[in-house]
Amino acid sequence: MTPDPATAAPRPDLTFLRHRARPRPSAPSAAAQFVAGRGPHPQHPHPAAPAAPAPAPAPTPAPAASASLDLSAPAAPAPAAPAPVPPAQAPASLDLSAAPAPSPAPAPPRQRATHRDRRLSAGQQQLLTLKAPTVTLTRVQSAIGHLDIEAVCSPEVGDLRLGAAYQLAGGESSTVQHAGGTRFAPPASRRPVIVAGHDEYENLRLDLRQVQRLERMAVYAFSESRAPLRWGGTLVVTTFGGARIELPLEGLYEGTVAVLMSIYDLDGELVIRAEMETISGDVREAARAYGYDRITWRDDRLPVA
Amino acid sequence: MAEMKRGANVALTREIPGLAGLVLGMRWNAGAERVLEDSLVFAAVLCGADGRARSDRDFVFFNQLASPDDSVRQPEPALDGDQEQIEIDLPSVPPEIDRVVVVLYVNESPGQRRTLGQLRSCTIRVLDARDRRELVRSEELARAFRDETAVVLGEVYRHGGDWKFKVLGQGYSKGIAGIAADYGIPL
Repeated sequence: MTPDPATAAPRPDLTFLRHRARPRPSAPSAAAQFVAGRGPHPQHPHPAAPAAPAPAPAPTPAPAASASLDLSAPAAPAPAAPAPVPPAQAPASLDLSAAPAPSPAPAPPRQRATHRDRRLSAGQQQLLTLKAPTVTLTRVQSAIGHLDIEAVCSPEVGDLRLGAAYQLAGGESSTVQHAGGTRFAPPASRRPVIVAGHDEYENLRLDLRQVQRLERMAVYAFSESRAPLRWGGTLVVTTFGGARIELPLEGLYEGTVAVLMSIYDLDGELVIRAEMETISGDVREAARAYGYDRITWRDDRLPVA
Repeated sequence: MAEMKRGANVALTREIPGLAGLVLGMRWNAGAERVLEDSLVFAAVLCGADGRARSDRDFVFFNQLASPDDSVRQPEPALDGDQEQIEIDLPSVPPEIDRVVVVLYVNESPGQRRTLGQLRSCTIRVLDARDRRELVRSEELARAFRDETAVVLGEVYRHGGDWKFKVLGQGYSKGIAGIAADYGIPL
């Protein structure tokens, strides 16, 4: 049996227990709702999006540690009921996930995590849809090499251009876009976190060595001439391992600006989510609609440099 | 203690009874190459008997600071004058893990290609976690680098009932992608 951490003898031989705590898997949280595509990001609700009809709030089984977002829960699920530990396992591999955090009184069987934490393996292809709007990268996929975002669109769509509103960990917030904007985030940086470019198609590239500087970004498309776009084509995200996340752009309401996708760094893992929302107004309104309210604007398309 | 050449190994736990915690310390000098300096990543891979990682969780680096069992960790910041460190608590390394490999790679950042050949120096050393005393140190590894963008510096591995450390200095021109392919790290 795993000893009850509240009464267990201290283990001075395990030095790390003295200074490192492992976040315990929490009950379905705002973050889980977000990953499932059913709610706004816990820290960055976007006001424009109508609140999704939330399911009746389930009674929270335990005071969930809302501060510790543990998306790795599927890898180390906490057993709902104390399961007998096979004795053969005990001496060599210590179940650290149970030990450090004093657990609350035995909770009723926990509601299984409801979010579908879709993952991606190298070379694989995943489609983002409004029914399955998110893919979560592992910590390895989120921080090795670079992540490429490309708007694969034919000229029939119109003069579609790509950009992104972003917020960095230090609070710095602005936009990047190749067409008529600032190409680097942060601007004039020797080591940009995001680079906007135009090769065969409009694109954005993230330097994942610096992923910890990125808090969130919202990828938008706009018409350079402000003529309505005939939405089509696909937004393609390519990981360093060659996996592709594809978001078809048909189905957007007619307009000149749309927020296509958002990317959040949640506890070291990048969550990529389809947004697919046409915005009335221009880039400024698109950024504001998604909560990028720290950007100051020169006009409706470009921030103050 | 004498410098260890590539391929040399030392029986750590046999020569130092009671040794349980290791610190692998990384030191490099990129000179004025700031982009190279900023793109370097020091990491560890936990490998099974087949020489491959069990999953992405077996890759310990700046965005994943500990292995699932906490036996291998990257402290932030590094101490002892090293630029980066990896700590290994030998008794808590799971039995199915045969070796812990430490690597250095240049992250492929947008539009900026740098190689390890631009490093002026690069050494790895092993400390005793109890008193932070240096046990062994590799020879200067940078001299052999050309256009490599990743290198397997060395490994801590089981041998009989003991743990040994070996200096490898094996370069990869395909960078971390090449290492990931060889060691089964899912990218």
